[in-house]
Amino acid sequence: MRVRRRRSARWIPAVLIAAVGLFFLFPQTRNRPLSLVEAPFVWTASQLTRMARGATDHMRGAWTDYAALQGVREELEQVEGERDHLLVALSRSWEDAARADHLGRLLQLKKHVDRPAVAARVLGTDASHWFRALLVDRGEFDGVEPGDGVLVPEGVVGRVAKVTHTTAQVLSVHNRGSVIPARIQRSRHAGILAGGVRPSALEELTESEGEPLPPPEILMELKYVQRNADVVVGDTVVTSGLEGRFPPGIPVGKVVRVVRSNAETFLRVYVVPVLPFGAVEDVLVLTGEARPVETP
Amino acid sequence: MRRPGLWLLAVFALFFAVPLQVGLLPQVLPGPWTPHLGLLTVFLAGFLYGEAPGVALGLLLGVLYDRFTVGDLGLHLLLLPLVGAGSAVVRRLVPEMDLIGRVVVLAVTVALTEVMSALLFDLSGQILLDGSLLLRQLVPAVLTNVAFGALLLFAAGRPQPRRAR
Repeated sequence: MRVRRRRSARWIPAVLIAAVGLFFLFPQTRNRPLSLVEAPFVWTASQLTRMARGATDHMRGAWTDYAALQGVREELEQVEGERDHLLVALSRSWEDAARADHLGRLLQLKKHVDRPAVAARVLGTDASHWFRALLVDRGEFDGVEPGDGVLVPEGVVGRVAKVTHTTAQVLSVHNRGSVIPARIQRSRHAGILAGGVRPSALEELTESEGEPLPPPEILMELKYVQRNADVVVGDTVVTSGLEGRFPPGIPVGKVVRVVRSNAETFLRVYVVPVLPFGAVEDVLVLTGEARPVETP
Repeated sequence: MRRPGLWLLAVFALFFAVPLQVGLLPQVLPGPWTPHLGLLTVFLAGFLYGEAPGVALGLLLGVLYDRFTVGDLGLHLLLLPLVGAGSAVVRRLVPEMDLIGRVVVLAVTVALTEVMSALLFDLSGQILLDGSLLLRQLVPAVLTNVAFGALLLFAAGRPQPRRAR
């Protein structure tokens, strides 16, 4: 009896599970009252499925975004490269435009000067810092000689001091030893513009009244201007053309200080160059005397 | 004696010193703030390798520098061999010298060379020298050359002791 009860007790769970399984296998039984038993299982399964699907979708999205980001990064790098390239090209074009403008003005100047001239490019400066001189790429082979005048559209640069076959060194107007016949453009008073100011004169000059002076090494003195001449600070000094190396009317400098003394015959007129040294790229070297004027 | 270093200095002196001095350095450094490459090269040659290399490079660079200076004096041809010989003599007299000592010697050499240049240019009437101009040119020149020279001396390392003959 006890053995038979045990066998029947073993079969009971198996029969129940089989019954539940069969119950779920047949669709027509789902809408029956027993669906209340089914609902929690279904709900749990659906939530699990939804969570699994959400996680899968999230991972798939993240991977897609990552892959897209890789593309965007490459694209960004490409765009940045193109931007840099364009910036360089733009800067180069600005440079070309500025240079073309400068060369155009140099060409106009060459047409207007009354003597032969060659355009030259500045290669560098003097090897010694004691001189303000430029090295240009024209020399004896191009007809350049020591003493030739050197111009840019803005004014006088200086004179050729030393020449080789292919290069020349141009001493700036404000170096000691530079002498150019010049005049005050407004009042037409003439004088000699000499580079360098004597130390004793410099001391007097710094003690005299007026606006602050520029560095003494760029100061020039317009000598032999009559004491009663009409000269004021700010006047433009131009070449007078008397010497023959420079055509008349080319700006050389600006008056920065005028010292009048009853004890002296001449005025002391101090001038600074119109061109800052080092800002010159292309120059015009005047290689000869003025052409004779053609008469009709 | 490290001959490859000497050859490097010679090649630099022959092909690069003057173009850099005349063309490139003035574009990036203003006026007296440019190092005198010729002087530094000759100083190093004399200091590290002796009188003969110092004087030889001094003569070579003297000719080249005078070629690219408006001054008519032949000043570099006079001064640079003296710098080469002088630095070699100092090195011989004080063989065990640390970096600071070498920099001091370099500073004195640069200052003497600049003052000599200024005086000779002034005497020959090519510049107008006064105290303020001398200071304005001398101080930046000494500072720049000492800074560059100290870097070069540091890079060159400690000179090899010379073998007794």
